[in-house]
Amino acid sequence: MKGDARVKITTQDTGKSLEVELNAKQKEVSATANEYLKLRPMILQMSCYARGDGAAICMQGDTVISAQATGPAEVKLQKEIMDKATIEVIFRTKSTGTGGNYVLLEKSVRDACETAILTTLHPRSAISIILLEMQNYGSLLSCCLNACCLALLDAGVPMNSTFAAVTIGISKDDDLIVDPDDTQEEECESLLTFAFESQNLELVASHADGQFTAETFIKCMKLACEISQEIFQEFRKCVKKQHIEIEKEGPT
Amino acid sequence: MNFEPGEIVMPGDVLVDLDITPSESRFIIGPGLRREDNKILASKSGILQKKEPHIFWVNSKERRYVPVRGDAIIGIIIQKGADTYRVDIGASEPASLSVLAFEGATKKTKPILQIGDLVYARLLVANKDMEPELVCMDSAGRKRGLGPLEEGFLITLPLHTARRLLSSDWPLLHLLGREISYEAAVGLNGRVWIKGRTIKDTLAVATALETSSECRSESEMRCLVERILACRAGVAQED
Repeated sequence: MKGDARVKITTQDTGKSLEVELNAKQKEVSATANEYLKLRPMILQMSCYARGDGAAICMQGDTVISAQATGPAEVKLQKEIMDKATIEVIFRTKSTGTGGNYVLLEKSVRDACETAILTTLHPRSAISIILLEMQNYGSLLSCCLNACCLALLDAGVPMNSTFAAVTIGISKDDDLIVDPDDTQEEECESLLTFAFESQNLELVASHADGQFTAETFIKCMKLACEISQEIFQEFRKCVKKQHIEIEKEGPT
Repeated sequence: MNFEPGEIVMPGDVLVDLDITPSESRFIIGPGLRREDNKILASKSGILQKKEPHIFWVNSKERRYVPVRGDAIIGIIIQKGADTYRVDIGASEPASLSVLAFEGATKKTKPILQIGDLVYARLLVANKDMEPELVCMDSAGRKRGLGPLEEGFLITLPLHTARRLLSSDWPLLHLLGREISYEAAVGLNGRVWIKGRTIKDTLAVATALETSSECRSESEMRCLVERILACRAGVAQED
């Protein structure tokens, strides 16, 4: 199965325009089991808000998360850490605002950020990230992590490495579904989310839901690692779009 | 080098690994790059820049200022103390400015600044572990263009746009100056203070600077200046 995945990943053309991506998505409706081994169409956008220091929108299929990063900014006295920056992650749902069932999600994202950001460079300051749920159609955590990384890149926060996350669902027949949507998630017996950093491709965060064997876990992790490469490519492409036109003529 | 100048680098990209490719040459690394053991890594995303013979840095787009020693910035007075002012410089903590750090200031003749006033000052101390400290004069005690900014108008730009204004390759302020007479102070913290002869002139320059942050090339910028000057001429005729 792993071999199949590799073929699928390399054949997927990542340089599509928005329309093409949407067309491709419609085709995916009639996907066979093997086609579940690739990401849903991913659209990334940086610097989309005038306020804040950095912002990004990440769309994975129909799941849309907007992230806004601020920092390094002034920190509340009680949250101040003497030798490193305080990282805050707030998740806002469409309806109920903050908190509630998403505290775990916030913590997962914060932990991943903490490994990636060079917090010691900005002691006694706060780096806050606000994640806004715009549409939730499955694989929420991985979309949040990807949006968060892109917002941090846009804000110019010094980082050790970038990170990218992939959610993998395991169905009742032990088939793997990469980046499942909400209907697929319901059918899945368990859901695994992995985040990898770009430098040494090491795991920075993982979140598991449901029952699975250790073997499946490792298999999923390897698959997620391969797929995260594709997301890193998308990130680079997005950053390039931000910068390259300035480079043509404009100086520093 | 794994990356050539002009290429996009992302945090975590290894530019040079001296363990794999030993090199005799030296490297001087600037913003956006860091050293870890024998590797040189990027810590910000942006375009890799090189200045001969071996100075490297990353040109990134940011909006949050991080104090750097020697930078000229525009601050806003937020608190008055007995012998220091607290100044907001747009960074994670306010800076301090001694009342004696102005040209000709003594204990008896102090500058009179109110809360909300603007100062054009230079960072004397900028260290991640210490409070930033500002001065409004050079080491010889002369003001050299620094000091309180009176009247005028303040705008905030992204940091790369403010840096670009000061670059000799980006003659925006110069082009505007051919038609409009104005004074401007560009702070590296993204704040720009403008004062024209009339409010219309001030606003014309402010609009030009704010819009120029969207300009991607010099020709676009020249076009923008022409249009703004034409608009201004039109407004002047109507009066």
